Amino acid sequence: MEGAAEPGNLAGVRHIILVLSGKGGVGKSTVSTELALALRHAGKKVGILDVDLCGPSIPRMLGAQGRAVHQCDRGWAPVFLDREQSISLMSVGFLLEKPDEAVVWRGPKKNALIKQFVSDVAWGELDYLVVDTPPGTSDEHMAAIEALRPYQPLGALVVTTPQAVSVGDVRRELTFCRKTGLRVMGVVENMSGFTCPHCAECTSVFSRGGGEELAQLAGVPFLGECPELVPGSRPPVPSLPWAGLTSVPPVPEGEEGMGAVSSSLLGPHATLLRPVAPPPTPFSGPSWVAGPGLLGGPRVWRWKPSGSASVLSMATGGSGASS
Amino acid sequence: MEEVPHDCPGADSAQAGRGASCQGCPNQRLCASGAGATPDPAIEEIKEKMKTVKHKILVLSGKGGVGKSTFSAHLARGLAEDENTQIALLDIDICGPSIPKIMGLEGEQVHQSGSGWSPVYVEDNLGVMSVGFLLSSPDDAVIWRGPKKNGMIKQFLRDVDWGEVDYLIVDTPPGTSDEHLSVVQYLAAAHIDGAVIITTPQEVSLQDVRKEINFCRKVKLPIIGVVENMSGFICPKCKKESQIFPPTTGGAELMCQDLEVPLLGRVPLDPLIGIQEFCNLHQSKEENLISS
Repeated sequence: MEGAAEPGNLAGVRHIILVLSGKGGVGKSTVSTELALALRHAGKKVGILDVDLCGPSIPRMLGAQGRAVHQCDRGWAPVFLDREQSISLMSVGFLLEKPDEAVVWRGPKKNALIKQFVSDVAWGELDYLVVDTPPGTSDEHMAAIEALRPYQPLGALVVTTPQAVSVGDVRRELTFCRKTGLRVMGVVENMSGFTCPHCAECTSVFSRGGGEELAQLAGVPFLGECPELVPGSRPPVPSLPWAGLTSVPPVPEGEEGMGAVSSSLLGPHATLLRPVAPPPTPFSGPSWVAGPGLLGGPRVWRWKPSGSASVLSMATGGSGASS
Repeated sequence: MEEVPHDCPGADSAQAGRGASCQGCPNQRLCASGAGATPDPAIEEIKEKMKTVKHKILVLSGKGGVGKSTFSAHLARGLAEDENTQIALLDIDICGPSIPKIMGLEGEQVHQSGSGWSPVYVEDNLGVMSVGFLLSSPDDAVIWRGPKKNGMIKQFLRDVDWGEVDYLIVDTPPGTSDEHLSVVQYLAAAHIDGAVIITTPQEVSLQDVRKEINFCRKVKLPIIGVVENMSGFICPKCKKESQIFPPTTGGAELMCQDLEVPLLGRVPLDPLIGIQEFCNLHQSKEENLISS
């Protein structure tokens, strides 16, 4: 809708990957997080943009709930997970006053926030920006693609589970990608099988083969399977940023799971995903104040969804004022 | 009202037509005149239409993939086992309509009669409506923004000839957005019995479901209760139970205690989706619903 984009806050981002699925609950957020961690493990600087405004899962998956968004000279500072600033996040989850607060917005308001996430967040220099999306083919997706189009997104990673009801929705998502001119890098099949912890029998709890068939049908690469959750491997919500996510069991020798996916994305220079290793200097402390470039003292921006025109209240030292 | 500015304050807000973002919008004059604040006449029309529908139940979840459509379909089938009850199943998931596939009705078309659109009858006493029946190919994507989806939902409620119905079950998409606001708004005058909220045991679902419960409270939608789906898995080889989605934060039970909503029951994850088990389960749901 607007003219050619100014060299905005995404100018320093080399590649943008959208993680899509027509279907809900297939593991888009899990795959986005795992992919970001795998890319980081391969030495890349990664950002994660969570445009699922109604169900923002990324903060919890990375143990970053309750973190505040601060302002810097170039706009909103993304939330960094570590001192090296190798992984940064932005999600509406950080802007809510209470974690259980429902974001009950119609399309136009959601579009406005997504535009802001793209243009007003100071992403800085990133190798990859992974964009996690909600299920469907509606406002959020169109808004994200419109806002990201000037930056030529690398493409879309489409996630499915094996069963027919998922494949049925994901076919529509592939049509959406074709119609919007978004290149599909490949299909990832999640929750491919469950290994019983008692007898090690692997059962296809959500049927089997759907991902590969879908990829063949659509003429796009099938990037691989990710296994089902291993029971008991997920620890309670931890204070460490990466440890909320151990849904993919340690990858054996050879290319499997997200290691295969990141290898496909990064090409021959990629390293394989090993068991997710913590960053060398883990983040600690409840409120992270961004590094160089922050003007003045910490200012906490909170988005207050209200019935009237959008209210962004700026709280300094706990008191609120509407802007 | 399809082409609205991205930061439209909303046609029914105090700023309608007057805000800075309204400049240039084709509907600016309409909103400024206060027309947006008057109730949509469709609400009364829908109220009239819904007079023949005794009970209306919404199946919600903040989270995707928890089994809303599966549950809705099985609940509808369970209730329809009594041949004397007339059941209607409405799928308002416009972008991802799963009900036709789950009910085995893919490829069916909707017909129009003098009294409106006819639902697709899978049994004599079970009629189904979904946008899936309006698409000509399984690859067709419905790439619509909010206002157009709202229009479709309005048509489903106003223009479908449901006839005399004992239970209307409405399957919704995940989230708390246009579809949910619209269905609650359009059925506001027609009285919704309540919502059944589906979740799976793990925290990443529960955190979205808590939002959905808050949404229900915000829009004053009664909550019939919560169903925990995919709760436990029996290995077909060794028959031992394990949790694929471990309830590390107490599962639905603790959430229901905290938020003071009834837990209606738990449904295990069965790769074959045993119909028998579901029907038995749904008998008890039916009792809950009738008593509420």
